[in-house]
Amino acid sequence: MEHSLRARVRDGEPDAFRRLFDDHATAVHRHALRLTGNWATAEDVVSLTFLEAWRLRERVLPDGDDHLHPWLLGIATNVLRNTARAARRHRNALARLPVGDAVPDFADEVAQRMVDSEELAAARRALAGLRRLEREVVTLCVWEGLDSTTVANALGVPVGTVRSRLSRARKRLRKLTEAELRRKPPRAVVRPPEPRPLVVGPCAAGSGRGVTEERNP
Amino acid sequence: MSAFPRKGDEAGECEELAVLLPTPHVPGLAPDRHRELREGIVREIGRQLAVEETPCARHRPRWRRLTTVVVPIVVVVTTAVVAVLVRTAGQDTSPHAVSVSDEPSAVHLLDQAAAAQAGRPPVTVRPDQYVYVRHLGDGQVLGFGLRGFGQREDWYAARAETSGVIRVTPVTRGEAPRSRYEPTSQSMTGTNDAPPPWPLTRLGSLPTDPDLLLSKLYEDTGGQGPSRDEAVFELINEVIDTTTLEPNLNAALLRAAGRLPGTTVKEDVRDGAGRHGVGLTFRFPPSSPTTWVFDPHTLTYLGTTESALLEVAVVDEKLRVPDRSTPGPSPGETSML
Repeated sequence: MEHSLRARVRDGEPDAFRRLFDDHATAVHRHALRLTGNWATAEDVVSLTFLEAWRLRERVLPDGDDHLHPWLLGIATNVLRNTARAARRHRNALARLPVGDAVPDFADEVAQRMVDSEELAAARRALAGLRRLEREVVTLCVWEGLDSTTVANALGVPVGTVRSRLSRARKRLRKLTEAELRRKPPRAVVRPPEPRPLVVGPCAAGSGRGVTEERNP
Repeated sequence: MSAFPRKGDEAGECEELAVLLPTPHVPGLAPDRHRELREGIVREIGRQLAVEETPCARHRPRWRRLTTVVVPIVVVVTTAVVAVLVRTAGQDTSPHAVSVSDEPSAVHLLDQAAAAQAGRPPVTVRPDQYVYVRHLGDGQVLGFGLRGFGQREDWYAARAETSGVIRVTPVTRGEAPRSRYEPTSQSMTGTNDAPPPWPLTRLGSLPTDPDLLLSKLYEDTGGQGPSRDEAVFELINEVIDTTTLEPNLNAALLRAAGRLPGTTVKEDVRDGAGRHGVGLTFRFPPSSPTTWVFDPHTLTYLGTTESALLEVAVVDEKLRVPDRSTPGPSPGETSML
């Protein structure tokens, strides 16, 4: 089944993209949401990933035996690396896509679009302790369950590079965790020593000069 | 249970990583939204297939049709503006470069805009500082969940491994533009993990010869874009704002942009904030070409027709806004007052 879907995606059949979306949009969305913490951005990343997949469809090998899931996550990684660039590239298409929740007020809309989860906030603080390239391979390997060869193919880098980034990430995370443990009683959540501002909700008027770490009520 | 089983050491490494970095649970796309987006994408594919299958769409690109009409008017206008207001030094564009472009008036405009930049003092950025960039314009183009019209402020960390910060503020379109929109309860702040494409502390070490710079641009973007030229344009379009800190590099970048094929001049356009200027339309992206806007008097780069560049400055901390007295270029700032 996957084989014929690959061939149909490569041929640009709209129905094949409908199926591709049904099979993989959830995974792409979840990945984007974990990395951005922002509903609106995550939805844009989903749309842009499938628009880029359409543009790059001829790069899918008709007879490949691997799945399209890593290919799409590779595209999503590139989109996440530079969402603004991808959005400019597909500006008209994005503008024609149906807008999400029809909430007229901007503040309400934004509030509904933020993911308010301590678990996600903690994970993103830990990710902030890694370099961008390490972060990319770690999230694909650990959160999405891809092996290093698959990640290497998806990102177009040698397998050795993926393995060394994983190894560096592990050392860095371990060091951050140990430093944290020395300062505080054991916790389940990894926190780097200098947390950065995360995606936060609307900041109250007048508080704009300070870093807002949490969403204001 | 993964579809992609691992073996040996790698499995051990991943197990440890999974403990160090537990997978956070996030809500999924709602079924209705999933369907909406899916059908939107499928419609878009149908639309693009229809365009690809229209025979005349391939034969005569839109920019070429525009050229025929717009150029005769525009050459007169830009030449007049340029001759009066800008010194003519620095015309080092090689004959090779001019022959690459399909549009001499565009090359001329960019060359004069470059000459206006070249020789101005650079603003240096220390590794512990941030570069502040402020835009006003169409929310969809500015991104970060902004819809409608608004202001976007970016703090790019000079240290590439440090995250930057973005703040968006919705603004009422149509009211008299202000020099700055203060954050309100509707503002939103978040991190930006993508560093600017060129290290901010090393802008001064990049080539200021347009041909050398263009070679570097092609080399850096090899295999990235929909086409070689479009990939180069995308990169130029991304670094044009922050390179105003390094005017000689910015000048070389403007001249390099003049080497891209099919660029045309538009007599009178408005930038994303509504300021009038001379427009320069690139062929990219083909579905919706980008138009840069230049101040008609000083030929300062004002931004694009969708997003106006209002300020570029160096600040010591993220979320700090530059003082009026801050040295460094603030394109178009005075005309916003």
